[in-house]
Amino acid sequence: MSTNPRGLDKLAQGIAEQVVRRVVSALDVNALMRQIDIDELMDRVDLDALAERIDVDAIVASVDVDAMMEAVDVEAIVERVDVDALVDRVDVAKIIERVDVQAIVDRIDVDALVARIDLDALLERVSIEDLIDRVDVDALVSRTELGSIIARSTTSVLTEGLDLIRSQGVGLDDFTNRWVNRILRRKGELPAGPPLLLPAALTAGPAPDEASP
Amino acid sequence: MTSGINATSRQGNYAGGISRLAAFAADIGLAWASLLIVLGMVSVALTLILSHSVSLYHGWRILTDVAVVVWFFLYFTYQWALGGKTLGMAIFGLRVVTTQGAPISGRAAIIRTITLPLSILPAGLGLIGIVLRIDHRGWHDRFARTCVVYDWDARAARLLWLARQQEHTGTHRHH
Repeated sequence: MSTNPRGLDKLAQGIAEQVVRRVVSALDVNALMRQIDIDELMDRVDLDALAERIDVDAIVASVDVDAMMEAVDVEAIVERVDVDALVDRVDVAKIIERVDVQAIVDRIDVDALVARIDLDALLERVSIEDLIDRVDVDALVSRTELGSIIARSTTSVLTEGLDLIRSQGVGLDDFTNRWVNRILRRKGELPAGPPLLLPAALTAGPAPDEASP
Repeated sequence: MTSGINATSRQGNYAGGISRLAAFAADIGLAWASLLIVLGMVSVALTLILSHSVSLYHGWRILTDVAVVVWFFLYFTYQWALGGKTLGMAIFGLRVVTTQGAPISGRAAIIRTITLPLSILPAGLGLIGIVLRIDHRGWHDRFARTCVVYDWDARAARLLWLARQQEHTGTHRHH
């Protein structure tokens, strides 16, 4: 009798499928599951070996993060966040301490920033009169050369007259002093004035005695 | 004297005797003038109040003498204490400072005023130091621990004056 191996295989496959279908339909899976001791089963599983066999990279690579993120309702999450409570917990001072302000400033293009400023609009908002009122003119004159410039430009006849009188006095002082020094045979560098009013080089020699009233 | 010192300005240098004498003379004149004006005004006021002529210089001699002393004392003390200079000193560009160069205190101004007559009265003996000493200090300066300095740019002004004189002379020669 000739046998057809393909026909036998097909027959065996058909029988097996029928048997499995009938067995499965006859099985009470719930009852079977109840008989299984899950804990004992889990104890018998070597989780470490299982984990080693899992290719995490492959799993992660297969995850479509974009699709996952699209599915997330960010608005809803944000709405649930208590921002005030979050901010209260933040130590702002500590954060600021860690900020390198100089580095930030260095990165700012000041020229570009200035170029964006509308100076005309800015100046229109400035009250020049208020600004002038706030200027301490006395301090300005005393701290700058402005005072001497004003003084020079307003040299009057009276000032010239005073200069004339004073110059005559100084001339006569010099004349008298020259003769006194000659008679008293004074030579060398003599103190020209009090130390606080003259540079050190011009106050050479003994300072006028504080100790001898 | 301060010859040999290469200073570009005389500001802060010890002032010489001639300038100081001239300033003092100006102060005496100004003090007298102002006192006479005040006394005159008081005389007029008293005449109007008492309805008869009042002469403070004759009838109220002691009072007037006291007023003179007080007036002179106030004239010098107040001005020295206030800005280190009297009107006469301001005219001649002088200023009183401590021996170190700082502004003088009210106490120093009082001592200086009180001891000023001590320098003048013994035939001006106390003023000799102003001429002979390097720091040009009289007795009253030494009592009050002060000195007098030029308070203006004396050298610059003198050079300016000399330049003007030279210019003036040159102009005359051209004519």
